[in-house]
Parts: sequence; C-alpha cells; structure tokens
Amino acid sequence: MSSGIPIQNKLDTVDSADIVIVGNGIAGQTAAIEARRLAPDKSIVMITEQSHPTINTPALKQFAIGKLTREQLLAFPAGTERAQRIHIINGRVEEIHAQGNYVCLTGGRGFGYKSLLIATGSVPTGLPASLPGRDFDGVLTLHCLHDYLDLRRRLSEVDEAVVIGGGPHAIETVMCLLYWGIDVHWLIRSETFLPRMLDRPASDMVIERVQRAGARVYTETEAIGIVGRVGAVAGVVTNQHQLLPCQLVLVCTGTTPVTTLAKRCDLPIQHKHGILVDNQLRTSARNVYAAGDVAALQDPQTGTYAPRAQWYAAVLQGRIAAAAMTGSAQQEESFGVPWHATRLGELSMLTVGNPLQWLDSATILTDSSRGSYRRISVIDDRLVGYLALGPTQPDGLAIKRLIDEGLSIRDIKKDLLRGEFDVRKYFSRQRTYAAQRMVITGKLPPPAQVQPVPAGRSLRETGPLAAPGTKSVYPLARTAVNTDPTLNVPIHLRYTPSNTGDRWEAIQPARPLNAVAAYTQPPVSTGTLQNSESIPSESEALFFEGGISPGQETNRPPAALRVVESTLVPLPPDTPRSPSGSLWSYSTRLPALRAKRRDGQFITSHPGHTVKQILARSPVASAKEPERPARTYPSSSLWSYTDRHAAVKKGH
Amino acid sequence: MEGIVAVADHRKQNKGESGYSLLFSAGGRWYIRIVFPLLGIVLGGAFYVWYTQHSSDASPDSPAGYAYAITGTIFLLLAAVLYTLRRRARSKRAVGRLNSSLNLHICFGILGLAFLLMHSFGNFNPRSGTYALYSMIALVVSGVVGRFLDRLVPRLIAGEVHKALTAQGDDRIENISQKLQAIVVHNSQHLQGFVPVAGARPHKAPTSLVPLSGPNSHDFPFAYKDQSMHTPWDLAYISLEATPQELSREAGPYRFIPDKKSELARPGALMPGTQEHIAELREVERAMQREQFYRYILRYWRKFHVALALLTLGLTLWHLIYAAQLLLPTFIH
Amino acid sequence: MLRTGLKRGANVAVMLHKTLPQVAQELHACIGCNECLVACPAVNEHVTIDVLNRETLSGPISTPVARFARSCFQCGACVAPCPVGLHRDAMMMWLKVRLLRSGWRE
Repeated sequence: MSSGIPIQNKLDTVDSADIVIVGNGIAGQTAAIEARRLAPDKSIVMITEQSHPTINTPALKQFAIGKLTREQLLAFPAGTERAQRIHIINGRVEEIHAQGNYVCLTGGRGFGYKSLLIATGSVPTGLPASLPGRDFDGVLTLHCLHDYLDLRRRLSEVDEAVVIGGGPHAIETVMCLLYWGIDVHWLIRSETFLPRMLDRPASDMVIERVQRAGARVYTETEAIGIVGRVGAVAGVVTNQHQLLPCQLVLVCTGTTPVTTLAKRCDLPIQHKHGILVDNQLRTSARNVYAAGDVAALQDPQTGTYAPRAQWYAAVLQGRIAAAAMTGSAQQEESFGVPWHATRLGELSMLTVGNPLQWLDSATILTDSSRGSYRRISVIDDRLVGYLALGPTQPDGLAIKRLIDEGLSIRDIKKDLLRGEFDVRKYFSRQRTYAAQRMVITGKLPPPAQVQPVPAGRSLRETGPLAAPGTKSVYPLARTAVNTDPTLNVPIHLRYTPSNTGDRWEAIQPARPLNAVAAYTQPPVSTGTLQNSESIPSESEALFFEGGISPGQETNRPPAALRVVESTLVPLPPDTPRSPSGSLWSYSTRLPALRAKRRDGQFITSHPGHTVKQILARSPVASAKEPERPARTYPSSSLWSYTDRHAAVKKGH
Repeated sequence: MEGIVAVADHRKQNKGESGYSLLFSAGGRWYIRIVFPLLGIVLGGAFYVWYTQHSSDASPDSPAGYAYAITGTIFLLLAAVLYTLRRRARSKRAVGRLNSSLNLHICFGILGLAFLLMHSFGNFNPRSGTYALYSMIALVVSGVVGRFLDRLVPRLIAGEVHKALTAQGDDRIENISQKLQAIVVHNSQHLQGFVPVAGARPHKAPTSLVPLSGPNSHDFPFAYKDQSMHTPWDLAYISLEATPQELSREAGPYRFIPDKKSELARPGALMPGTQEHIAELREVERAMQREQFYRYILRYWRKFHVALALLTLGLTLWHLIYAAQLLLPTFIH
Repeated sequence: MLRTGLKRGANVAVMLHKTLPQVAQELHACIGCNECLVACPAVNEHVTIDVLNRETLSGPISTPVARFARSCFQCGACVAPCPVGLHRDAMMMWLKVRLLRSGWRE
C-alpha cells in the first residue's frame, strides 16, 4: 500500500491512535484541530486519499476563473497539521472492524482507534453510466481540486460549453464560464431551477438574470448523448432533439455521500442517503462517528434524516464531533434547521428552514421589491421558513437563530421582509426592556392568567416531508414523540418577547439531550385543553425562569407558558382588567389570546397573505396589544426608557 | 472558542501584537499619497515661479494658466473616476488593489487642487472660477478631515464596543439582567409569602399549581388531630395586648402612591442592589447609542464628500462655460 | 456595471457590532472566497483569509493582521460582496477590541 507520510515516525503511533479521522475535508480537518484544542495529549491521526491539505472547496469556482491562486485555497495556514501534531496517513480505509476497534487499510494493514470519525465526504453523481460519449476528452465532472485545475487550463481554449445540472453548483459554473466570455448552454432537467428550495417566482428570477447575463438556459432538457470528433467533445444531443455544439461539457449534477465504509463494517451502521447520526454525531456502531457530507442529520422541522452538504454545516459538525470524541461536554452549539447561503449568479440566495413546506398551516408572506424576492413562512408569530433572493445577502445566521429558537418576530416582520435586520440591536433592546420591566414590576414576568395554546403543533401534520407516524389527535402529544428537543423547548417557552425568555437563547442550545427527559409530556387525553394545561403560579415562575443556578436548569419543567400575542388573531371582546398587586402598575396586562380552534386543528389566518394585508392589520392589533408597559405607567416617567420604548416600537 | 491553548511547539511562541493607539502606521504604499503630490507641487511651483518671472502675462487665461487648468482638471477627474470605477468593478483582481487606488485618489486630488490654485495666479475675484475653487478646497479639506475621522472614529467605536461586551466577549446586557434577576428572585421570595401546596414540587413535570390567594385551601398544612389542646383558646385569658403577629400585620405591605421625588419612587427601590445594575444597564445602552452615532458619522461623512464633489463638478462646469463664453469671441478674432 | 454597483451599495443599514459567539459562528461559516478582502479599501498588504480567520478567533495577532485591524475604518464595503452574508466588519471590530484590551492590560 502507499506508504504514509507520518509527520513523526514514532513506532507506537503508527499502528493505533486515540482519535482516527477518515477523510481530509473540512469536517475532518476541523474535527482534528478542535480535538487537538480540547485534548492536547491524545494522538490524532487522519487517514486520507487526498494528496493535498484541506482546501476551501467553495472557493474553487473563484480559483477556476483565476481570481485566486492555489496557495490561497488552503483552509488552514500551511503547516497547521505539523504544528497541531496531527499525523497524516495517505491511504484508503477498506473496512471497519468496530468490534475490535480497528480499521483495515489497503494491503491488509490494521490501524487501531479509540474513536473513529468517518468524514469521507461525497462523490459527484456525474452522468449516467449508459450515456454514450461520456468519456470523450472535454467532458468534466467538477468536484475536487484536480477537476478544477483541469478546467482552469481549458478555459482559454474553449468558445462554447454546455453545463448540465439544476443546482447551485451548476449556476456557479455557468457564471464562471460567462465571466470568461464563453458561450454557455445550460441544461436543466426539471421545470424550475433548484426545485426543492426555490419556488416558482424565485426560480424565474434567477433564470432570467442568467439569461440576461448571456447564457442560454434550457429547462426540461436532458442530455441523451455526447458527440465527439476524434476523441474530443464536439456537441451534446438533448432530449428536445437539439444538437448543441461545444468544446467542453461540465457536469454538475449533485453529489451522493460515500457510505461504502458503513457497508463494510462488522457492526451495522445505519445508512440511507448518508450515515445516520444523532445530535452528537454518533453512528449506530459504538465509538464510530460521522460528520460532513456523509452524515445524515435529523431536520428538526420535518423529522427526516438528510445530509447537509454545506460548508458551515460541515464545520459545525466537525467541531461537535471533536467535542463528542474527546469526551468534553461542550454542548454550546447545536445544528438547528438547514441553512444555505450562496451566490447564484449576481443574486444572493438564502434559505433557512424549509420555506416550501407547511403550505396549509403557515402564513406565507412574500415581498418582491427593489429587484429582490423574499418569502417567509410564519406560524403564530414564529418564523419557520425563510427564503431571500436579491442583490444583497441578509444576516443569514441571525435568521437561523430566530427559527432555531422560535423567537417571536412580531416586531421585526417588516424588517425581515425587507431583508434588513440588525440582530444585535434587536436582542439587546429586548433584553434591556425585559430587565427593566422585571425590576419595575418587582417580580419576574410570568403570564398571570393565560389561555393556554398548545405549541408544537402542526409542524409535522402537514407538509410533504412529514415523518411517518407523527400524527396525533391532540397537538400536545406532539411533544412526546421522537422530537428534537431543541425545537420543542423554545416553542413552549418563548411566545412573549417580554418574557426574559430571550435570555434562553444562550442557555437553550447548551443542553439539547438532557432536556428531552424533563420536557416530554405524556399525551393528554382530556377533552378541553384548559384543564390539561398547568397554570404556572408565581412560585413555579421562580423556578422555571432560569438563571438561578446552572445546575438547576436541567431539571426545570417546561411549564406551560403559552401566551400568544399574535397580530393575526383578534382580541376577544370582553377582557377584564383588574387592579394589580404591584406597586407601580395600574392594571395587569391583558389576558392572552386564544387562537380559534376547530376539530383539534388550529386555524391561523388565511395562508398567502400579502405584505399589504399584514401591515394593514398591525396598527389595529398593536393598539390592543398587551405588551405595552409604556401606556400603563405615568408618562412623566420615572424611567426614561419607557417613553422611548413606545416611540421606538411605533417607529420601527 | 476563546482562549489561547498552549501548544507544545518547538518554536518560540509568538506573543503577537497588542495595543490600539491612534498613532499607528498603516503601512502600504504611503509614498503614493505623500511623496508624489509633494513632488508634483514642487515641480508645478517651480514652473510657476519661473513663469511669473519671465512673462508679463501671469493670469488665469494665459497659456500657462490654461496649462495649469487643463492638468489640474485632468487630475481631479482622474481622482474622481478611477477610484469609483475600481470600487464598482466586478472583477477586482488582487487583495490591496483598492487601497492603491485610494492612495492614487488622494494623490491626484491634492495635485489637482494645487495646480488649480496655481492656475488662478492669485486672482480671487468673485467670479465663477473662484466659487469652483472654494468648492474644491472644501472638497479636499473634507477628504482630509475624512481620513482623520477614519482613523479616530473606529477607535472610539472600539471603545464603546468594549463597554458593551463582557471580558469574554459576550453580551453584557444579558450578564446584567441575569444578575438583576437573581436579585429580584431573592427579594420576591421574601415579599410574596410563598406557600407550597402539599405534595406539589416544582421540579417535576408540570402539575397544577393553583395560586393560593388566601386561607381557602383545603389542605391545611398543619394537622390538629393529634395535637388538640383541651384548654380554651381565648387570648384574653392571657393578656389583652396585641400579639407580635398582629403588630407585624399592620407593618406589612401597604398600598401607596409614591411621590415623585422620593427615593422609593425609583424602580427597584425596595430591592437593594438593583440601582447599580440598572445604572450599568443604562451605561451599556448609552455606549451602544454612541456607537451607532459614530457609525452614522462615518457613513454620512462619505456622502457629504461625494456631495461636495458633485457640487465642485457643477461649479467647474459653470465656470468653464462662463469662461468659454467670454473667451471664444477673442479666439475667433 | 455602474448599475449593479449602485444597487449593491444602496441603503445598507448601519449595523451594530456583534458579540463573540456571533462572530465565532460567522467565522466558521466563512468559505474563504476572499471577496471581502478584495473589496476592502483599507488592506494594503498581503493578508490571507485563513490567517485572518484564525487570528480573529483566538491566539496571538500577527503584525500584518494587527495593522490591517487598526487601519480598518468600518466602511462596510466587505459586507456586500460576501456570498454567505457574513459581516467581516463586525469580525474586524472584534479584532480591534482585542487589540484595545490587550494594550490596556499591559
């Protein structure tokens, strides 16, 4: 077998190591470096078939057109592996013997491990094997550095090219070719571009832009054969009976995870479109982890397992895998919903969550202005899906946080639709008001008399990708099933912005797994919902509001904080006002609103609201909105922030 | 995330840079914006001196005046256009190119101003040319002031950000509100007379905890059955004085509306320790408002500079047209 | 060309700084395409993106990066070209704060 390139030739480290990582992509390399940071004394070995160090794969398209040099492609400074004492072995892992805790490299050589990370990545789908002419010179499947080096050399010799594929990779390739002034024919098999992430208007927008940039786009077109002349490509025959002349065919048809190792393991490693992993990236074989393109994580919104072939997901998984493998209980980060931000031609695209789902239960708001398109899916003032397409990229990670933590977006709907959202200002303002209100009222802000609204509902009931077996009669029971606790917890606890629940965003992701035990409620079989809810008292509030001591957090009950302040639901007509016991307020807040209920299903407002309708409603609803301490306090205020609070809330 | 891990490296560990004073050297090709303009001014000035001594016609519409005007205008146009084009171009080539463009912009701007000053040959009569010159002086001065602001204001912003973040870089408001909450929790336990219902423990999954509003609960916390007293319970058998409990009831929580000047009117007055935290919270809020203000300064000074440039362009065009109207007849003859 | 430039820079809101957890998250999402560095009018020497990212997170700050951090004048030109929507100016501000604090400590 090919001899390794071990950095330090110590005999005891050649045959076994504490941490063995298979694969040299960003997930594997990040895991190695993070593991070295967390456990400075363990031996870390990376076994890879790749001959070069880890590179920034998304930057390869910049490299292809000459904007970057090869040295600028490195993901980590040169010599990082040596500095971090990570041994690199150049070889291929053939089998995993999980019972014996060792892997087999080619040539029968064994390598022992204490923890193994499979980060083998993905392979390109390429052209179907039966396609005639696929091995003419000039047909390139773009995937790794080698392919892009080849592409870069050919660009200057080519006048016309064909790009096959319907995803972000294909459009990036098309733009690269246009940059070089090459005529491009772009073949897309489906009717729209990126059908799983973009809706029709967004896809039309993207395609129209690309056409304006000079490419020829053919939708519902497939290549059925490649024609050559003396061994080099000369044209492509499509299913629309066209022959497109070209000197270069670039195949960008997507990737499939490399699960061969999962098949060649003596303990069964579950895999289906990728190796199935839990939130700690553990596979079904002990001491074996998986991260990167090859790992299939559970989507908290749909419950299905799917790989996340994005750069940021791979980095995050690498770090979490390292924490799990070294045994450090670092649970600060969780994966959350799928998130993808990239540039499609001249437009920037951002999708968070699953924006094309829940057409029945979510309110879809769209906004197309200033040459951009935004579509948000809202359920009860929580954001569940976001799609933005436009010349500038909004703050994608902040929006991911909004969805992951289920924060109420009542005040910032307009900003989100416009794509401008200053996360720091927003959260700091929320926290400041919460803190001030807490001090002014002299008590923690629990909901006094609440009409409970069960949360966790309907996210799985509708939508094409609902996990099987997740139906239930009473929406409450949802929470007991196989759910990702990082989603359930926030739903229960974060309806009001006044609630110091805003502080939860730091605490919540810290304990995703422990929370499951504390938070699952048994399915409720009583008739009405009111009886089944617990009305939290002040005493319970003291405990569930958190921040008392870190140790107590894991035992806290989810206590039914169910205030719904939705601008989409009208206020009930008779809302009693009673004098409050607090010294400085003149009345309590209004009791919470109850969404209409019919047959166990909750009706939100009509889906498909446009922006105009929402805006027309909000001034009316906000006038009745209970969360306005500025109105209840004397206006010659002891507390200058309340006046500004009112002004700011109106103005924004 | 944060934290420097001591890597057992054979090489000497690099300590790295520290400190952020205003007098830092930015590096780069500074000579483009300092040396070249000086050279240009010296050359132009030398020619100016030579010309004024060897010619009788030292005025803006002399050949030398025209030469100065044309070169000065070309320099200004280059200053305006090159940088803007480079900034907006889609295909920027290398890291640092835009900075060189910026240096060139400064260089051409200063040279243009110098040459156009020399073009005026000391005539500052209130004519169109003079207004264009004033505008141009304002433009260049705004550029210089802008450079100074660009050096000073980010440092001020960093100072404000430092106040808004904890030592670990987390949100300080969150930190303060956690402390506040601890105080509030501590104090409200005292004030509320928390009465636990028998059998209800807050650590379990939610059970019905109905808030008790008085002695109407069915479960009396104390069972009297085994401890019955067979003596009469009238206190008058003992004494007619008020019991300590009755006395403290009068002193208990009472309703009043505090007058505005009283200390008690401030929020959180009954909870010791909140005032400092509220003050800190205010301080952080103010720091963030100041940061926002500084950022607006940086943003709007640029717009102001561009506005002055457009004004200069307009006035220059007016001056050219006006001067051409005056001079064309003389050329035709 | 001018049109796309105008559209791109138009009406970008003035955004405040970000906390370290937010900056760290953004650093992990950086794909290293170099668009921000190319669009920066303040960088004047060859700073590579991997070194910049590494040093912004933690560790000693090398001289070129420190010089770059001080000369950054928060113009925000690096935000628009980022394909992932990250905020390089917020990351540079964190570097500035680190330099400031380390200067005071000594």
